[in-house]
Amino acid sequence: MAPRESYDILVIGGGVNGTGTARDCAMRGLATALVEKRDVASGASGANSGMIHGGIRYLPADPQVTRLSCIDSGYIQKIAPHLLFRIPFIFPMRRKGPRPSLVEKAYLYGAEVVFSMYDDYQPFKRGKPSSRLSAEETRALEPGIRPDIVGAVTTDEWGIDPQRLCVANALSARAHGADVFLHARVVGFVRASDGRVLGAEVEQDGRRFVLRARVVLNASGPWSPRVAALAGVTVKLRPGKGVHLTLDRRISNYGVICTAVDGRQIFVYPHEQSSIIGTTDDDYYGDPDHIPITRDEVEYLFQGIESIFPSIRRARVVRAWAGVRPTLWKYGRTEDALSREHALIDHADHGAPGLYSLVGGKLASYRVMAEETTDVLSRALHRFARCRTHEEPLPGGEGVPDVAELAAEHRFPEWTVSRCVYRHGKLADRILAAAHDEPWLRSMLCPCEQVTYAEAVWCLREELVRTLSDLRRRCRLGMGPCQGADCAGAAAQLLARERRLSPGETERELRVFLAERWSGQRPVLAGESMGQQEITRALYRETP
Amino acid sequence: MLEKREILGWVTFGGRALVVHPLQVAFRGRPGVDRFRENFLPEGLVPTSAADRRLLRGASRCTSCHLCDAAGASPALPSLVPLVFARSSLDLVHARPALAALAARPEVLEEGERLCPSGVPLRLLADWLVDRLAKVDAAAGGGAP
Amino acid sequence: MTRVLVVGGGVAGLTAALAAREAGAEVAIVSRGPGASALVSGAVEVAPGGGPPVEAARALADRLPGHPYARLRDRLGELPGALSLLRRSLSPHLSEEGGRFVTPLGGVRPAALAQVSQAAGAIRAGERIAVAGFRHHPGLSASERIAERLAGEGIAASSVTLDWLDRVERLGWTIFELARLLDDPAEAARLGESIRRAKPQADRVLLPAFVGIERPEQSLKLVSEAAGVACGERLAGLPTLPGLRLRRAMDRALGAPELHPVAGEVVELRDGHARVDRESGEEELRFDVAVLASGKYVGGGIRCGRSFVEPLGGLPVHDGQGELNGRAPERLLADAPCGPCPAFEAGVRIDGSSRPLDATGAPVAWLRAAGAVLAGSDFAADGAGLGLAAFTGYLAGRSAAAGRG
Repeated sequence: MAPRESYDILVIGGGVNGTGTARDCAMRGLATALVEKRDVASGASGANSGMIHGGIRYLPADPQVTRLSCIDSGYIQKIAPHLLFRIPFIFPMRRKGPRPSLVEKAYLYGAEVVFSMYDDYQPFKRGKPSSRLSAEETRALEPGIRPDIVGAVTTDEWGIDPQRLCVANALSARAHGADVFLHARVVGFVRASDGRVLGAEVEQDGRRFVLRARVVLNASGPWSPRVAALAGVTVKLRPGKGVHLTLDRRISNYGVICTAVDGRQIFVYPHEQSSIIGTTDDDYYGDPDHIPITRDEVEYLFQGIESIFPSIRRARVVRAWAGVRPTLWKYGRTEDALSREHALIDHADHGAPGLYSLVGGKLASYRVMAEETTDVLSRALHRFARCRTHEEPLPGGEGVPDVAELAAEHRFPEWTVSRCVYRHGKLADRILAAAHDEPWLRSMLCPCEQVTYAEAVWCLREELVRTLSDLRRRCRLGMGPCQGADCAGAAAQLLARERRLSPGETERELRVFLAERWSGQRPVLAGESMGQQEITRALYRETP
Repeated sequence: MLEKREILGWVTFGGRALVVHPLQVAFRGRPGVDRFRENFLPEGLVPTSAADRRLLRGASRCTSCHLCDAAGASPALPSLVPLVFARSSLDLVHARPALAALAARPEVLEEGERLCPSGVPLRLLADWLVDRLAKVDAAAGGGAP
Repeated sequence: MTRVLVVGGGVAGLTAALAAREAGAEVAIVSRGPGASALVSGAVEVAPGGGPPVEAARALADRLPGHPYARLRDRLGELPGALSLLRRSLSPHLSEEGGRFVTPLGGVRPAALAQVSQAAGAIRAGERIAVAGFRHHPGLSASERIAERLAGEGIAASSVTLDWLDRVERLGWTIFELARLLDDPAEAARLGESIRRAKPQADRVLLPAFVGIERPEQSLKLVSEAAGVACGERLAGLPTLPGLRLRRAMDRALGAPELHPVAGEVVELRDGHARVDRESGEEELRFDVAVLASGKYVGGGIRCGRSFVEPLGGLPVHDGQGELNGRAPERLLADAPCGPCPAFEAGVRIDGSSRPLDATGAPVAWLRAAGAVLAGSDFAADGAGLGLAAFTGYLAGRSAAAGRG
């Protein structure tokens, strides 16, 4: 793609902050470019808990934050109804003795009151109100929870596919005229003699070019200190590493809130067709491009879950994954409620006018952050258009089509259509319809996640895919129980066919993809996964 | 140091805990397990018993080799049972046609089990999924299972 | 007469049972299925590198001192006998000769034997090859890329697209359904005609491994006749039709009453006794010598939870170097997904008479071990596939028949 002569705004970073802000800017008529050194959602935005929660943890101290979080969760549901799924959460309270102590009972009562306060805001996001359960009732609903509990309270949150959310934002930005450059790395800034930032020098496919912009936004998450350093300014983070584990299936339809050895709350919860255990939170000043996962971190998670859900070790863990939260160095005490977790830094004061850094934030409030950021940037550009990101649906979010009808119309199995509709919403109709003209699209590429060739080809052609891992982020290819054993080879052939790769390039793509899958399996490999891996290794042994 | 807003939050909490919540409980009753069931079960979010989870562990033995599919006919392939259907009860309603097709030809799963290198209990799993789907249906119809 | 109990119904177990029987023992074989033996490409590989099997195995033993071939180096001369026994017992499933075969990813792999329909697809010097694909079956249509890769290795290869599968009702069919279709002679002829129509510029056409389940050699003959050009199959990935064929051939071989096949799972193994879990209930079997041919992780011969366990004999688990338990888990898994990796070499050590070694390093007189359960064997890294299973099974069976000690 040839860059334009000049943009109003250049956004650096393809995470949820970057894509969300690029979308808002583009929708407000600003000439927008987005540049990302890897792929959309390949950093922290793809490695979080995957929830659009309503901020219950701000209660009772800061109900206004909870209120705004819930309202925005409702907006996200409105613009991407297909991508959200309900996760009921159970918060059991352990007891130490044979009978619950007064303190334990009081603690559970306190939780009950907090959860009931949260109920006041649930209607904003179509959430269900809380319940208080006795120990027996808790175990009737979730027998995996150990018997020595006082009781439990429950609440309701929404899960989301974070990769799809970012992709949808990037595609929407593009549809509104933004230019999106993926696998394009910022290597430096273009400066005026007075230090003003005039744009960025970008390297893509070994080629360098300049993206000029009136305003540059550094939204590169854990990489933002490095990007800022290219302009000679400082962004200070306190990066926190978060490790999650993925189980091969839903071991329960309910999330369970557990307490880790250090008193932190960690969860095991259903997510799409899998379960997730998460998360750790440790300071991490290492390389955000290569985040190591240790057996100790995995053990920490297991032990924490085990304290409430003893049978957890018998489940099949398919992988571990890690992200780095770009947490602010220090929360501002005076800022308004929501901005406590993020900050927009104007580097004019640091000798780099025209450059802003958006740091911190969380997935659930990405939209309102993007809105606030775009407000500031628009003001700097003297452009004043109203934000519409909470009204206009993301691509595919215009409605959720009926699965059975689509299946009948396009002659695909219902269970296949269901996953396609989840990932693509209304666009599933177009994706599946293509198979009428190209019958080969009916074949199954990834059985675990029910990715048809139709869906994969759509992603390859329409969704800015370059590598197999990009494709994985679009449609969950290779993210199921077999972790790519089934589909990696065929997917590499498909990629080669669509992108006309040489045999050498195809092999390289496959090797990189398998290595990426392996890096997540390695820290948790045991049990049934050993047999799976024995097969995978044999299948791909010529791809060393 | 607490800010004014936070102090207000905790004061509100105190009021809720000492006055409002007890009154709500006294007059409206304490929302318990029934509310949980009404909230979530009709959407397919049914509980998973210990016996259910034992079966799920059987499904987890599947290594995606698809040898069992040699016994079946597309699109209702035996491998769908451990690999897709036994992963989430939310999508079970969409598995209905396949579960019916597999139930109509019990010899398919029997032969599939014989072919399985890792001992996935395909028949038990398929029967269980039919039961689970019935529970999902019952819950969706309003009656608690 | 020595009573030999074989635990495991894969290729190692089958060969052990046959060899023990041939040597005059009374045999029983307990099998809950073929394990990883069912997941084969269709080739019987002895070692990478090609050439005569014994030489290739010896070269592998030189390279990997912890490999079972190295442990059994003095016996490598018996390898051809082992392969021959396997071939005869599965007849007419395997070819008489090996060669170099084309993999689904377009690689070339030497093997000592192959399934008959695949042997017809061996690469022959001076021949031009056409790799066949099918437009509407993306899983079977990677022909251009396979041909490109072969050409890159100096083989005269082109690709050809066939219209045989263009009929709409066959869309999305599994490889098994297509193979079943080709058991019908009329359909095999139709496939051949589609090859003729495509006019391949080649001396040999390579099809996917799907030309019939029941009588692949006959189906392939029909295809070739109708095509007017020699045809053969490539090796398979997953799902594997050759795996299904091997399974059927093994079922036939294991059905021989003199092998006393028992469908079930050995749940306890002690000197002289085995407890077997069968569909009809538990059963106790008595024996003089048992052969452990229980596979690795797929077969269940080795388990890895928090530690590595050999569940039946309670034997210590080693890789090619030494004991695995006690080493840091991070060091057991390599940085790359394929290639050498201690955790996948996990297994039991044996002495030169196939007797597994206990924790003190002493051989267990009443046991023998064969196949993937052997320490130092890692099919994905060493390329010693069913050849290793047949060889070690053969030796273990004969050693078992000779009695304890």
